[in-house]
Amino acid sequence: MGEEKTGKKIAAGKGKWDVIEDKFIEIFSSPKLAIFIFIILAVLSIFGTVIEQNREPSMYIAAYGEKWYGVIRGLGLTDIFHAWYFTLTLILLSVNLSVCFFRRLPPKWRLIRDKTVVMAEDAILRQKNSVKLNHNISIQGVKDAISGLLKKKGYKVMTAETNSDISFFAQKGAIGRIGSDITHVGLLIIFLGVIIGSFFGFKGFATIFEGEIKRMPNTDFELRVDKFWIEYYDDYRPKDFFSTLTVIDNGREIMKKTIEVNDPLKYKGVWFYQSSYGQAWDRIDKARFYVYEREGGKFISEAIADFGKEIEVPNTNLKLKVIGFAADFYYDPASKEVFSKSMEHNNPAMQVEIYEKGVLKSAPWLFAKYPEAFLDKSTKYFIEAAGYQAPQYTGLSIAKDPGVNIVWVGSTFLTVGLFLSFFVIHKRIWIKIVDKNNKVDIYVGGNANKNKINFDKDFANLVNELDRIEK
Amino acid sequence: MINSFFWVDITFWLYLASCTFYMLYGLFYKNETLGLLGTVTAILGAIINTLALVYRAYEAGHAPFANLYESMLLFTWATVIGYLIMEFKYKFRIIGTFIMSIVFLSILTIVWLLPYRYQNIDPLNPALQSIWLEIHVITTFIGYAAFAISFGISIMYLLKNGVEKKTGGGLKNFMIRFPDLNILDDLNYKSIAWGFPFLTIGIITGAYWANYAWGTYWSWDPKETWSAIVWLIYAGYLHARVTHGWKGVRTAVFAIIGFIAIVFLYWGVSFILPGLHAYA
Repeated sequence: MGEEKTGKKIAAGKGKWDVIEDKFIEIFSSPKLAIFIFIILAVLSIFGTVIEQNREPSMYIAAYGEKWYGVIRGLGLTDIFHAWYFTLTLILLSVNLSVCFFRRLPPKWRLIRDKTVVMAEDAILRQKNSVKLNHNISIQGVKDAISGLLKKKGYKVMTAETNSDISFFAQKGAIGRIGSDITHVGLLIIFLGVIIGSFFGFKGFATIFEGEIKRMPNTDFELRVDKFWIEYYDDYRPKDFFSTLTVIDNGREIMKKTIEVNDPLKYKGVWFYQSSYGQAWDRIDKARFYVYEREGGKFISEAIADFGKEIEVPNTNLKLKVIGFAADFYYDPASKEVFSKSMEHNNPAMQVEIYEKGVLKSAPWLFAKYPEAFLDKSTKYFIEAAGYQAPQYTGLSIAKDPGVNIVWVGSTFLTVGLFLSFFVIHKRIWIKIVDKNNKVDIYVGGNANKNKINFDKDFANLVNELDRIEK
Repeated sequence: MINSFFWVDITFWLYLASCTFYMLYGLFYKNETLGLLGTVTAILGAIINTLALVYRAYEAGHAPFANLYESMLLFTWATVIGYLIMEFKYKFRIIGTFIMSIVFLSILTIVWLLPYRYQNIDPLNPALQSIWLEIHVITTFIGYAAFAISFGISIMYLLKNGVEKKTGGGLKNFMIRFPDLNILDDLNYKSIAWGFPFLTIGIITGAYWANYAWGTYWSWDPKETWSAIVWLIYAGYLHARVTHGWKGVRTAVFAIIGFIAIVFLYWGVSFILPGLHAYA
């Protein structure tokens, strides 16, 4: 069928579109283009490692200056792996892979399926490796021996018989011919998985306090952190972090799992990874205060206050109440608001209401690291924020990637294809024994698609053994 | 006291001896005994190198692939084993002159150049505590070792090719004994044919692991990106040689560029470019 079609095409002459199509196929199936694309991708990638990616503008300005930052940014070099020209190169590679696949596979496939058993004597002798032997033995006597010999060497053997001759066709490792095609398909499958992931997946991050229930971003369910803890090595380096999580869907507890680094929780296609941890930046559980006399500095007493609860300071007529906390204190003069400018405990401060004999005297911010920064003079005491305990949160990376399994399927194809193409050799052998009145002529020919030196040895061994059959 | 450092020292001296024997065999004497001594000391070195890794694993309580020092011991181990397999299969002992030089220089770097703090046994940080550490590192380093062998063979190819063009020259007698150019070219291809699939598995298992530990299989981290660059270079080599018919000098140069990129991937990225993969 296929040949008929080609024949018609040639008879009708080539139209303009055929020429363009041929040209397109020729360009896109050439290894030159593939190598060219590899070089472009490699060079772009080098740029992507020399110039740090996706950092804040101030970092680039510090490193390259204002003017060059403009140039680098304009050229997309600060996010090169998502620049249009990088994507375009990957599209080119995909086209290259596809065209190559569809052009190269059919002839190889025909060759694999080809089971020409009967071949003329001279055709056998025209094979890459060939030899003609003579034996003083009957044709039936040698038949089983040859067949057995080939099978012992792992070949699949087919035979055809006439009155005067017997033909053998033996082959193995045919699949090795399409190893590179399997690899190419694997890469295309990986690209497909990546595209699906980038369109239908998401990445996120959430912090949850122990005991807290939180709706997870981009999902329709909630997570509760029952417990978070850290295990340490003997030298106090962290060994592992754990969070016991409960999935709550539609108000019902669905599942419970303790996650750790390298062991995420999976629910409804969303993965939750133990990623970080830390202390709250906007609240505390408890605060400890030391109270002194402002004049003279004599220590009077110590008090521990739960957040938001009024407590009495022993040996005084003071009451304290913690009403605010900022881990990294910042006062915004415009809005006159206090907030924490980061999640780090760089400059922890707590706001405390001070009551004397039941009357609110003031509500200063006390700085744990700078106790004497702003002295409150509403009472005769000096109050120092001596310490605090903040609730711990667990930091979860959240990822949904419906393409990820496709990526692994593609990766498997890619790898299997490589092993097939490097290590599985398609070896084919044709043998014909021709009856010459109780003597036989044996024609042996064969070829291999790669590692020809290895096949030369194989073939020589085979011929040797064939030679010894009659003895 | 017998500990892993003791075995590393012995490995060092054995590799030095092996390297010297191969050199003497290659450069000065056509004495097969010297070559045999080179092979025997290389085998002994590989055995002691194995012991060093085992001791290290025992002392650390985890697979000894957690930092540059430990992974270099794996690199020398894989390269020597790879080379010995090649020597037994193809019987070109002269290639040992180059491969054992690479191995010796590698172990010299970690014993003499690497600051002591890199030799410390560190507890595994949480991200590294996974069975994928073993799978990912071993496959990657089989790849590295095969590429190191291909690098040595490529240098031999260029030297021999240079000498064949000229007449005379001081080292000519040495290089004349190299295998034929087409054999070197073929062995170079065979090394890369081993290295490439293993590098590929190394990258894929790394991606699989990253997906498990960090929630993303590819984040264009410098280590990942450079592994992709190396992969592209060798993919280029394979297409140039297999499909496009390149042979000889051009493919040898290709393989040398590939290995330089590996050295950068392995050492350069760890020291120069910041990223997630900061161990080795």
